[in-house]
Amino acid sequence: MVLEALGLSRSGRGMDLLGDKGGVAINASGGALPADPIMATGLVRLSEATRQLTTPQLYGLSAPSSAIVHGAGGVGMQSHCVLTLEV
Amino acid sequence: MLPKPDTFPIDMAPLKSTLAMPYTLTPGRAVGTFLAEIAKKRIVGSKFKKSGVVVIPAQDFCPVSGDKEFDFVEAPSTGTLTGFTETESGLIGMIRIDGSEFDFVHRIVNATLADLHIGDRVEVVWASETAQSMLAIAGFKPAPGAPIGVVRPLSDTAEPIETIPYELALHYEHAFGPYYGRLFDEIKTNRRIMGVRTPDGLGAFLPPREVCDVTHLPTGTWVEVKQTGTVRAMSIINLRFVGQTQEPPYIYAEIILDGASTRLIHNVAGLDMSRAKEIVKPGTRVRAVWRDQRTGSLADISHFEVIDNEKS
Amino acid sequence: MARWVGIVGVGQTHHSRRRTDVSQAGLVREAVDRALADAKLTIEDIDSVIVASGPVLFAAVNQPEKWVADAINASMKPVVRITSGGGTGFAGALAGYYQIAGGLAERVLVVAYDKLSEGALQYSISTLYDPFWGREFAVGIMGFSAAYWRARMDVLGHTEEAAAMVAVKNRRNAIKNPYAHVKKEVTVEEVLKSKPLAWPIKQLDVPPISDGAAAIVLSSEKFAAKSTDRPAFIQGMGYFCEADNAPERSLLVSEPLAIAARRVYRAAGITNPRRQFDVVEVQEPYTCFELSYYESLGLCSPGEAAALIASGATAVEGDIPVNPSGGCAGANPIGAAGLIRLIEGAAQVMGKSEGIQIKGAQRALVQSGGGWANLRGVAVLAA
Repeated sequence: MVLEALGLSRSGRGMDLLGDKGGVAINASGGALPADPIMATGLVRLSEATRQLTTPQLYGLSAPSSAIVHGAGGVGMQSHCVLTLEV
Repeated sequence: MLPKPDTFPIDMAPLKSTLAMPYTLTPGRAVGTFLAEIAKKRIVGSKFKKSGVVVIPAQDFCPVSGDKEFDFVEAPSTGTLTGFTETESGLIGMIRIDGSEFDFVHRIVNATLADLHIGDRVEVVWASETAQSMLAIAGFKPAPGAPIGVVRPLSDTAEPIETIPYELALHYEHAFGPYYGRLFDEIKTNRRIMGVRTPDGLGAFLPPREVCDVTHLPTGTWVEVKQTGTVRAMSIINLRFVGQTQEPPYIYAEIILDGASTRLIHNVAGLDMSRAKEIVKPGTRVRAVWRDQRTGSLADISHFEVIDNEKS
Repeated sequence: MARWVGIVGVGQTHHSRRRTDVSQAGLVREAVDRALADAKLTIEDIDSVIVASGPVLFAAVNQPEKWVADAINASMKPVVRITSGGGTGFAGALAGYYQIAGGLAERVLVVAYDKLSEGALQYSISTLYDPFWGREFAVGIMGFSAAYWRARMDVLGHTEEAAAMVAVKNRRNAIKNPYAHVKKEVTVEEVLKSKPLAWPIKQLDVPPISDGAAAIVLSSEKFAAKSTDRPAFIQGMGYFCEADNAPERSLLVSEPLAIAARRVYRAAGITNPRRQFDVVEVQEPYTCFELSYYESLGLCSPGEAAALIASGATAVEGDIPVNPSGGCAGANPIGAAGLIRLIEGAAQVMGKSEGIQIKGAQRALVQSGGGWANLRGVAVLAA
């Protein structure tokens, strides 16, 4: 849902991006599933994206130059925050 | 610079604590009316005057236009399932009552997960006991082919419920960590009060902590502080409140133990309370008095007593 | 360089001991409707919304901004919640200020509220204390506030009489404030004889428990004229914190307040606060705090607060009126209190205070804060 809303894939085709097939590394950190300190999770995503851009070799990435970071809140995901980063 | 403190993890069961308190919540006019009526097996919604939008259950403000003028309407007992899931406590669904433009959450009854599809028709099942809450409805059951109901204007609604009694009880398990761990282990086992030296080595933090609050420099080695100290601030408590742990009047005091640089909060007792203002002041010297029981908390110190004529 | 930011509209509810006719959302809606009307705007004109409210435990609704945002038709706008103890309302306004000053928004709506009647206030506040170290001794903020007052009493002369004069002044001022709900004059004797709750704090040193909401519209310079020809320009605003239990913490002077004042005065060109302000609004959770603020804000030297209140200088007829609105003594919906002080300061310099206007007021000093009396903010408003 989020990947489609971010415009990284067409509507209904978010599954196409799995396995990083779209040329975009999605949640190289594992996202919230391996660790979810809820109130910090959004900031952890930002911190992870920053590390991936500045030290990509630690993640097996080659030379990423931009990242999109997303966080959401509310039991119905009513709130969203999006940031874009570039090196 | 001083060496890092010789702290190691101590296996202490976490500190259990419960926050429990009563409330009187206010639902406002729309929801208050909904709750008054649901006890009489009537589902009430709002129809907003300017936008024509219908919301069931009733709301004070139109989610689409922000309109605050509305009329009450009576909802039919049928609707459509727009979402569902199975939880530990049973099936939960998103229900759009016929005539409403919005969904709400309730239980799905008389069905299993395999029976359900998005778009299924459903119907209210009333609970056997009345209640001024959503639980007056037991849930919604599948009602295949149920005709679409209509919303009807309503003018004789009951007086809105103005307050709802509510209780919150939240349970926590706080991890001690190596600093509190050792502090309370020493209190329990040896009746010693331990702090860690400040980065400049001249004082001690109590409670002990990993870094100085202000400079963020690492704190130093462990040091025992004395059981005597000085009152730096005090108040005489007469107030009564929910959750209070002792009977007023009593003295609330901030005490700096000899050797420590930071304060601990405790009670000063064992004195004639009618002379409390004269006896206990900033500068008064006090000494810890221990209880018989050992729980490994600040409460193992029963109180602090005033010391006459003692120098530190 | 930060951009110009002004307050262009204000609104508040008629605060009361208990509102059972509206929910939290309804209370917020009232204040927002008034602020938008005052700013001659609708919610469509607003770029971003800040909802400021006290701790979730006060009224048992988590993430209330997601609920109240619907009530003010702020769907699809950026909405964030700010909470900061007693400084909540002020911190919410500061967040809005940063959004405009930083060029990320042109008009921001800040609404702050609390519905204190719904919960067990002292108990909720006691969770401020460390569960391991002192929580069982907690007496809300009253316990430590009283203890800190006692620590200042002998050294600074903040006597019970001086604090009682604050109660007399503020309660009298509240009578003319249409938004206050405690409107009863008291005498110094009555205050001194009132029941000690956490001595030296007595019943009449204590503000009421209130339900109330307040809202402001902040604007960039470009859009201000659409709302008013006399905005309250924020000449400086800052919010500072000190460690509640560090060795260096002084109970005699509030260091974060003094730092905030110094920084904000420098930004606003204030070198003589006693002379350069026409009106002052401070957030006094108990009367003793107002004496302490006089000193930390530089309205007088340390040790002279008692003399200042006794001189009448801080009365509405004095040369440095403090809390012509009545301060917290008239109404104290904690989460909103800091924003109410900003509103009262803004209304003064905009010339639209109702019933309590200080004639010719052009520059206001506003103070707010909370926590362990360790969060302190200062703002200077000018028209």
